[in-house]
Amino acid sequence: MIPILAVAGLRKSYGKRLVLADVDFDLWPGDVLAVVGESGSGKTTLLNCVSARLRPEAGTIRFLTRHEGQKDLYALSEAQRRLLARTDWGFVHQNPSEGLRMNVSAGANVGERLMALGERHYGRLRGAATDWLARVEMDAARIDESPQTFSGGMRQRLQIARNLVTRPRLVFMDEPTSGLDVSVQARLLDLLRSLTRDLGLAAIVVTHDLAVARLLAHRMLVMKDGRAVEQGLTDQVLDDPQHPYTQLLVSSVLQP
Amino acid sequence: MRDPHYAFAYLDERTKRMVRRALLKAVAIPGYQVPFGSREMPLPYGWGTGGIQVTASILGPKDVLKVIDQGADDTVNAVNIRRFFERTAGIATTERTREATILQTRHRIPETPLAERQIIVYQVPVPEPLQRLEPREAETRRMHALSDYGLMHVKLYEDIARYGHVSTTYDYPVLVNGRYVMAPSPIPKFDNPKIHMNPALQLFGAGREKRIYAVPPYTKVESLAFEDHPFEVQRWSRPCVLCGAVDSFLDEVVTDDRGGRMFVCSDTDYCGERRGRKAAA
Amino acid sequence: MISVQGLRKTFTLHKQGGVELPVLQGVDLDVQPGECVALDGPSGAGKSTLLKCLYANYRATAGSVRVGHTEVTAASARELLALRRDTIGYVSQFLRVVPRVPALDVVAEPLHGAEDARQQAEQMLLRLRIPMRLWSVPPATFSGGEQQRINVARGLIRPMPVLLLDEPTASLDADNRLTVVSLINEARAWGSAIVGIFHDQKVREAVATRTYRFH
Repeated sequence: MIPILAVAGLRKSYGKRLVLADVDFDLWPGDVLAVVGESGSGKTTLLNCVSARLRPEAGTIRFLTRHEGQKDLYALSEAQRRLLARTDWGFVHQNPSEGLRMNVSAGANVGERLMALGERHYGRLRGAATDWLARVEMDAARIDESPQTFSGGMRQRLQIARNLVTRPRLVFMDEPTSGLDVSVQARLLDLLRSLTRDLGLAAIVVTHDLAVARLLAHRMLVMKDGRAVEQGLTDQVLDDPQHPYTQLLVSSVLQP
Repeated sequence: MRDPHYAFAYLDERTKRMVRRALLKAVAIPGYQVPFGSREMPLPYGWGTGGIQVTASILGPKDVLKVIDQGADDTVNAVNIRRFFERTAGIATTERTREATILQTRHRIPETPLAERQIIVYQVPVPEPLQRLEPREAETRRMHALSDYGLMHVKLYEDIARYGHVSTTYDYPVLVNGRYVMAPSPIPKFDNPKIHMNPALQLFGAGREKRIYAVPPYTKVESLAFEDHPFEVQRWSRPCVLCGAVDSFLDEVVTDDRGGRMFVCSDTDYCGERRGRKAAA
Repeated sequence: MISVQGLRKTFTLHKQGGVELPVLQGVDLDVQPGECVALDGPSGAGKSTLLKCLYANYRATAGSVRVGHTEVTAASARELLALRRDTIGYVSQFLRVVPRVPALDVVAEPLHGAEDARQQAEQMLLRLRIPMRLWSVPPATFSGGEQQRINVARGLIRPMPVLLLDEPTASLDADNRLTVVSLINEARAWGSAIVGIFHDQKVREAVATRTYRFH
């Protein structure tokens, strides 16, 4: 079996500062990989590189397309990458306003990708939007409201629905629950967990919160100063950390 | 009589060549906005400088020019522009659609069908159909390049969700030759069907925004819509009171201060021609 | 089914200056289908550690751990996940669940949405005397004994070739202990290879075919 995403030797510098150095990992369909680390560890840079938002200076990122086998991301044209980003990938931003059109209705937000792909039936668009709002546990009656009127948790759900409507096979998430109230976080994590399982999504979740990693991810990558210092099954990395930094990270977590 | 102090049709020949190159590109890529070096004209932006530059660049001494504004030949703008070309080019002008070789228009397409070898020049204020939804030009350029028009349909979706129908009644966006989405200029949507498969060459000039685009003769042009909310044109319940036409775009004219109003054809030439025929009949 | 050879596990505590804690110092153990090996020894001897090494929750320092056809110490994350999904069932001492999932769904999860998953889960919960009113409640608020029974239910609901049990009856009353014993013996009869830690001697005697002693 071919991994859905194969990353090798990823490297990125900003001037003289090395932000990512020699990062390798493979991701399989249905895998959820948590990338954890503190600020400045390079985890967000890693996410941006593998989602084609930032070009690495070295290394390869190969994505298994739906019908055309494995493709080197940067050997594709920008048009092809944009199409991938709209259909086969999802990207959930930390701040939902960045991932939504705040000045159009919730329904239009969910339907936009479908419209971009050629769906021209208003009734079907509305039906799909209603369906997805329900799946992310939002009140479908709010379909015509603008996200400006939504709470943070609701905006995040809307962002998730907007991304998943085209059934992407790979979803990138950047701190999807930071900034939300704890109770809202718990519900959202639960939603993400069941969606990734039910839809067989492969996902890369960047987080600084180890509890989120334990809940959502099968596998974990620990980043420090641009390097992946440890990789493995989530429970193994958290319960039996090998690397000194991982041990420090795990022992630093406050237990209420 | 042509005023000898001006170059033929006001613009110098090199400028005209530059505009014609842009026009050729525009014709080669129907609906695509070609940037051009829009010149300073003796009237301000917003008064048709783009259309005038296009007309000036294609005008020859034997051409017959018709200029309309909102369908009428006798409004101030139409009169001024016509006089401008009479003075700087000395060409013949007409109010008869059938007799013109070049027609410059603001906000209407004539009711009388155009023929091959005629050219119609539209005055365009905002050439970018996505502008109100996405003000960043870098982004709209990319959308056109990648045929990424989801946002356009989002606008239509929003209208239907909010009003039950698409609320845009003029400058209604169209898909040209199955490829580019174009702003047809603020003509009423009633006129959109006329753009499709028109035997005449259609040229569009935006002076302030510095863009030129074109629809070659017999090009497929469809107004954007949803399958279950198809594009529809306006209809009036009454005919024109002057000529009795039931199929032309009607203007509402207020006749007194007690709510009296009448509906007359916006296209004065069309209306007049019909009345002439009726008188003759 | 399970073959452990020369298994060593040493914890290196980098925060404490790299001090090393050797816990397992050369374990050899073979378990066949239908066997139930009880791990016996004083507290801290490494019983839980051995189970966790078998489950790949801990990384072995040296030696070999074979489960079925897979060498656990050298397997990729993907292989280990597959192993956990289809081969090894694990009943840990503490219940760790997702906040909002109801008890019934927690128990039904290993059945991966089979048609009668709910019914099977209900049967399990009945056997383990979890009152019906708790079935739709998330287990986070349950008592220790109730949580343990949920753990056991989830761990044993689907027959697995290998079962690892870490104190499955620690907080249970006599009746429930008997039920768990029956469940374990049923699994053994099915053909599971079982390794377990049983604090209660009577339970051990009721389920174990063999004892492995730590020193």
